[in-house]
Amino acid sequence: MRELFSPAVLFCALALGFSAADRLRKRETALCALRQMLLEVHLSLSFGSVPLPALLLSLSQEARFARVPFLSALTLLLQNGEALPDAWNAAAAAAASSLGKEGSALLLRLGAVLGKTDKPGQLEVLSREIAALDALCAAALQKRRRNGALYRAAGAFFGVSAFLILM
Amino acid sequence: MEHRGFESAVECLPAALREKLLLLPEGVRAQCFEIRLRKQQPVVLFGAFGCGVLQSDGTLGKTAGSAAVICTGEQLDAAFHCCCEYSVYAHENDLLRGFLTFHGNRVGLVGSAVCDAAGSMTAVRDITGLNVRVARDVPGCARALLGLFRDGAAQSVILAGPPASGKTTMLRDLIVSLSSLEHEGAQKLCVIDARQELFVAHTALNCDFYRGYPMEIAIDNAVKTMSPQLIVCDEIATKREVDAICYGVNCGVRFLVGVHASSKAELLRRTQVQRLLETRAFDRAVLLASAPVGTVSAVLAGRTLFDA
Repeated sequence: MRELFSPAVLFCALALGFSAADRLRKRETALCALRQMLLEVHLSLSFGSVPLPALLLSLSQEARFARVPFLSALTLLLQNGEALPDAWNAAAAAAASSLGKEGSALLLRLGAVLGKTDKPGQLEVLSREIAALDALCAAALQKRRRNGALYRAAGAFFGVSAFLILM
Repeated sequence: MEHRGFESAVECLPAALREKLLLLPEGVRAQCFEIRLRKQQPVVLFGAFGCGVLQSDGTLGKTAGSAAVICTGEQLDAAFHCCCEYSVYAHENDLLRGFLTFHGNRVGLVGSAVCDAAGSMTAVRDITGLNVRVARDVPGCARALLGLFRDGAAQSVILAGPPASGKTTMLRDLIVSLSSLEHEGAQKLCVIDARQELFVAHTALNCDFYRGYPMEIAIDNAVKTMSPQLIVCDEIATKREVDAICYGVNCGVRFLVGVHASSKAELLRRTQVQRLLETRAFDRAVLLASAPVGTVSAVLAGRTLFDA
């Protein structure tokens, strides 16, 4: 029994540590991809006047934005006939798990004004939120570097310790 | 064909209003021309039945009592943003011209103008009213006029009628009938669809649509590059538009133009029409009756037009 239980504890501790580190990495990736997406929206609005639903649907087709869960959820809702403001808010709320509370709040803030003003107004709002997202990305990167290794090491340490004690 | 009609027009409205409107009897929906929304005011419908106020039980009343459906500010904003495809920035020019187009239905809007120091209008804010005009396709409604455009029967034609007499509906039907590649002798058409109401999503048309272009630019482009046999324009109004049509006529292109006019006398009094007739290229004018929609009341030709 002990021969089976000890490796199981070791495996669980390692998995917990590595999955906590992986969550940090995924959050950073999602925030960076979202930033890239907003930059693309900013660029499209600067040089064109494509309506937002069409623009978002075309961005969702691009492979580089496949890792933006917010965009996938939003696209699905739009394709189901939801109005953009409702779809945006629902997708932003659902994105809290991948982007964190700050990322979700940023999207909700953006959704309240996106598409509702003239072009200079839209570009200004987008620039401000992209700057806020820059700060979130930097914080996520720092957190991943600081805590990622720590979580993995802690998982390995507790796993090995428990393994040795139980053996 | 692009889906048009009452059900299509009300898609721009918030669910609460849309559901009430869809409860209206089929006969009322079929005869409705306009749905008027005003901030904190009852929803009013105009149509062949006259004027009616939408009631909360999905009927049409004559007065705005306690049962009348009131359009809130939030509902008006939601309808406005939906008509803008949730992208106001993409419709800034349309807003300055006072209308948007939703699924081929023209939506007039009223608000407060923002002007610059020179007095030019730069933006519209605080939208307080929308007028959703219900566009309809009536296949075959212009069959009686097809002879005018075949075998050189007429050079250029003016299609005149009072508001809501079916000018745009007839123009759309003529576009399909004259340029359909499903029949022999399809003509090469260019449609100057400045208000984006004439567009027909038909799979086989020998027709090019200039959507949202200012009329004078579109006519210039069409004449120079598309070699059309016939150019179709809706609702000409300004001197610049008439100048552009005269330029096209002088280049040898035939025109079919829509004009607001309730009677022969009113038509011939219009300065723009007089200028078109001076070119001697417009040798027919079709007058539509106010009701029922699409009824031809007279076809003016030859001396009837030029001796006026």
